[in-house]
Amino acid sequence: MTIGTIDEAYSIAGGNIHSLHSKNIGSLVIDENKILSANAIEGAVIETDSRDGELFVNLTVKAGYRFDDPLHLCFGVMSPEAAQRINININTEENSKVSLRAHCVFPNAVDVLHAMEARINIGPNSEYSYDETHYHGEKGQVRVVPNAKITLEDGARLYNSFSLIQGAVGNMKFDYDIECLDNSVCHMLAKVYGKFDDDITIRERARLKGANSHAILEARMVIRDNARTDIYTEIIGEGDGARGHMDCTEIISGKTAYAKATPVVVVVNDKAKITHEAAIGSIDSDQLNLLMSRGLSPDQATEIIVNGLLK
Amino acid sequence: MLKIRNLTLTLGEKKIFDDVSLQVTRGEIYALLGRNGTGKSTLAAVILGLIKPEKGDIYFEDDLINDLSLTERAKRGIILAWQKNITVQGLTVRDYVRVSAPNGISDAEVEEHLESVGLSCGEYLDRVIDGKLSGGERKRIELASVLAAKPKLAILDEPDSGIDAVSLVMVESAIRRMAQDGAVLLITHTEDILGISTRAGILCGARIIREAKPDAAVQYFKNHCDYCETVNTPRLDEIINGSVNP
Repeated sequence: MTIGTIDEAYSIAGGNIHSLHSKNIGSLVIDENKILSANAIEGAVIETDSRDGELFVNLTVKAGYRFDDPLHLCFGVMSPEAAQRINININTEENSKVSLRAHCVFPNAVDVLHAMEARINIGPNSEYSYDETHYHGEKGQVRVVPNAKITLEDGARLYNSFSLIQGAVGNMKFDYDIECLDNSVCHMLAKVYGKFDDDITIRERARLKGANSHAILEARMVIRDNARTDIYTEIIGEGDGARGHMDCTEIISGKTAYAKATPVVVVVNDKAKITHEAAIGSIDSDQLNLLMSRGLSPDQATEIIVNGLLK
Repeated sequence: MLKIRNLTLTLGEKKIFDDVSLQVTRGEIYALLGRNGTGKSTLAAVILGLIKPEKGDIYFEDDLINDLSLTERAKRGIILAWQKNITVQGLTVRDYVRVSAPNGISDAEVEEHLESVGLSCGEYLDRVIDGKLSGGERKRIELASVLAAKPKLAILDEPDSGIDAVSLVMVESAIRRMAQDGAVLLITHTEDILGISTRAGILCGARIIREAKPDAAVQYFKNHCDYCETVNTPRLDEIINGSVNP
């Protein structure tokens, strides 16, 4: 089934179309490398440019502006074959607060590249939340290549959630470098459902440079069929009182799926502490039995367990 | 309603059940009493079909159910309140009670079941079931889910553990309601909750050594079972996961 408009794809991915078209709500809609609409609101400046097959976006949240409602972004490719390259700079100035809700939709993909180079600076005592949901078609012929360099200045807070659980993933290479200065807090969460021949690589590295800086790197994966995951997380504890934790939970199903998790702990200050836990295994038999003891079939029970992990 | 005939089970070199027979009739609250490690929870697992015995038959409503799966037995109305706290990530109290209802359930009914075991809906309905809940709260959520399942036979594995005295009254009331609509097999190693049972059997040394009215059973248990041999049953999850093989 071909999905005709970006609005339709956005809606299937869980987005509220009203938010993309309201003048009171900050938004940005991109199809391939074309800007379809950009609605800046007071305190949030959006600048765009397109050249040489690449899209450039600058988003600045001005000092002191604190938005309770999210700004909405839609990065789509409606063509079956296309390359989308986005170069994005995000800067949240001092004491600002913003939440971005992004939907990346590639519903008709046969051979689509979605590449993003992001530089994100979260200013002193500012709060930045980024919630990205992907919707790919069932064929999964998408290459998702987001790279980000993120700096959290003193007292800054970052919550980043990445979710790719609808449709096939395709090939994903996720590479984030985060630097945390004094008293900053960072929480990264990735939720991915890999199936068919999906190939998923996540690399996240957080450097806790500042005193009392905190980071949580969390991944929840479900993989089956011939899918493979390679999750590499690293936290470096440098600052006094730095605290970090890595948590990777993966459910693997079938004899041909492949899951690998590599948490790396580096501590160079005896006042820093970094911990990790990783669990990869089949569906927990206790959980299955619990739900089947209520009359659910094994497949129904499995669906509830998987949905719970990726919720 | 439930008939167990000549059940024999050996795990490794340990005889867990040696020709055990037991019957629970409609309207009855049958208490299975025994010291820790005598195989009470293992018997529940056998009734649910999680463990296959070497010998013996299980009948439910006069049908032989030896070959039915866990799901099929639950669909027939055999519902267990698990002793162990099992966490399904992301599952809320509302989700769990809903999942337990075979033919759908309204929000009002979910709330009714929770209130009936002393859990206020405002506080618990949308709480994720996880390690932040106390043992007593988990027990009561488990019982609410069993109520939602409308069991014909409710098997309650130590439903009173971790329950405070006030909540225990509500839990006992819920158990009586389950018996009105079917029957209850109450597994316990304490006397506290035995008062609501109509009959009790003592499991000791791989056998049901006595069946009697609750008071008489407790007396017998006190007099004869202090030193009675336990079989040190392996943990249920070890048995089910196959690390101990029949």
